[in-house]
Amino acid sequence: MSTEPSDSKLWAQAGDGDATAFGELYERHATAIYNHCFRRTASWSLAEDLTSAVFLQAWRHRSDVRFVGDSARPWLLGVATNLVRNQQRTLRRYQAALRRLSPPPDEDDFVDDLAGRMDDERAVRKLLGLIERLPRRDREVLALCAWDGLSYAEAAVALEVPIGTVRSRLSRARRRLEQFQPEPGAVGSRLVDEREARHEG
Amino acid sequence: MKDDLNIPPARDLPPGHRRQRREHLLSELSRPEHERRRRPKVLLAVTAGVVMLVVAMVGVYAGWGWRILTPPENSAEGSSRWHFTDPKDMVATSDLVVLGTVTGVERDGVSDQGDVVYITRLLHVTVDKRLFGTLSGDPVVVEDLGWEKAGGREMPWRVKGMIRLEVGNRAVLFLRKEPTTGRFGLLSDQAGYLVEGPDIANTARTDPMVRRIEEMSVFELERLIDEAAAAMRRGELQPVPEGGRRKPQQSP
Repeated sequence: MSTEPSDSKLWAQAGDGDATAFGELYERHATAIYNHCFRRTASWSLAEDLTSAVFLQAWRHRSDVRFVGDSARPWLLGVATNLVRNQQRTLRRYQAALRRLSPPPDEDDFVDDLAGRMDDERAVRKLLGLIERLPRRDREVLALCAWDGLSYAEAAVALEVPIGTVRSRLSRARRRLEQFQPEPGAVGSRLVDEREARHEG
Repeated sequence: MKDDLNIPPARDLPPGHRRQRREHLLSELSRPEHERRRRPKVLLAVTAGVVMLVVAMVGVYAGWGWRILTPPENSAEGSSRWHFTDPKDMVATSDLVVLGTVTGVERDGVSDQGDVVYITRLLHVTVDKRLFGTLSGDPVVVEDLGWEKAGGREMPWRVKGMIRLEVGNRAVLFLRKEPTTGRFGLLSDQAGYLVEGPDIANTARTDPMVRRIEEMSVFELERLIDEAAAAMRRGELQPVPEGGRRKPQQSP
């Protein structure tokens, strides 16, 4: 049995002004937010700034949080989705806070990792080039369900739409991607991968 | 090449960066509320002060007093010759549809209506992509609503529901060639769509067909236009006459 405090308990502590509890939430969810932001922007450095902005924004709006089960992750991904959507405005808004960030430390491991990260950026740029043909609302559902692995119910909380809307948008995205692809059967199934099939209503 | 379409596996923030970002977050949260909010308030107060000072100086200089502080919103109801409910009809009725960027605006003709003077303007639109119709020159010059002058004051001539394009705007434009002047103009108040990145921008207009188009990506709108063009070639779609299509006669 896990002895770790639940997200909702940590959130309640954070609501009482306990920044350490909020730090624990950061530890728990930063990686998911970071990868979501990267997959929507194709830039690891931008994703770092956006991740910081997501948690600053989440702190400001901590009374609005919605949990799915006991997880704050879908709601945090919803905050991330909104901030990525308006990323220029987001970064302007948090410019002062981000300026107070000290220069990143030099890290040998990270330098070794750099080539892989550059490959990732190239790959995601290519993916984004393909999915930007979809309407924004479809792209967002695709990113949350197929890439971040949210269930329909979790994506519905993140996007503040009914579950049926999530289902129909994802289905439409898949259908449209199949139409766009150069080789039948290649793209749609790769972008909307098998995780989508595991979602229960 | 299909492998290029795989989603790269998740990565963590580099450990040092992660630690640094976490510490930064906690230090930001521990800043006193008043300290976090002071800067915007000061900035807002200074900006408001400067704006009021400039307005006062201009107003006094021009003899307007404080009237300038409350300029009336100049907005008229649209009086387009066409109103569409299906975007494909709008395509079929257009002479030219382009995705382009406004690169210049110049003043054009003046129409003196007595107490009000209307000034048209010409938009120079550099075509990024022709989507429908025949393009005879680039940039395309589009005649548009300019300014309205009344009571000695001139203000932008706006029509409710119609976007006002400015230099630098990227937009999809449904254009009609005026037979009398030979110039292009927007087909109706539903005929201009700002573009933001890959999407049609949301300008919060309320017309249902405009709403539908503003929820599309540019790519989707292009496909819709292609479909309309194909339907026209097959003879399944015709331009809509001014005032709308006649309803088919009911057989007795």
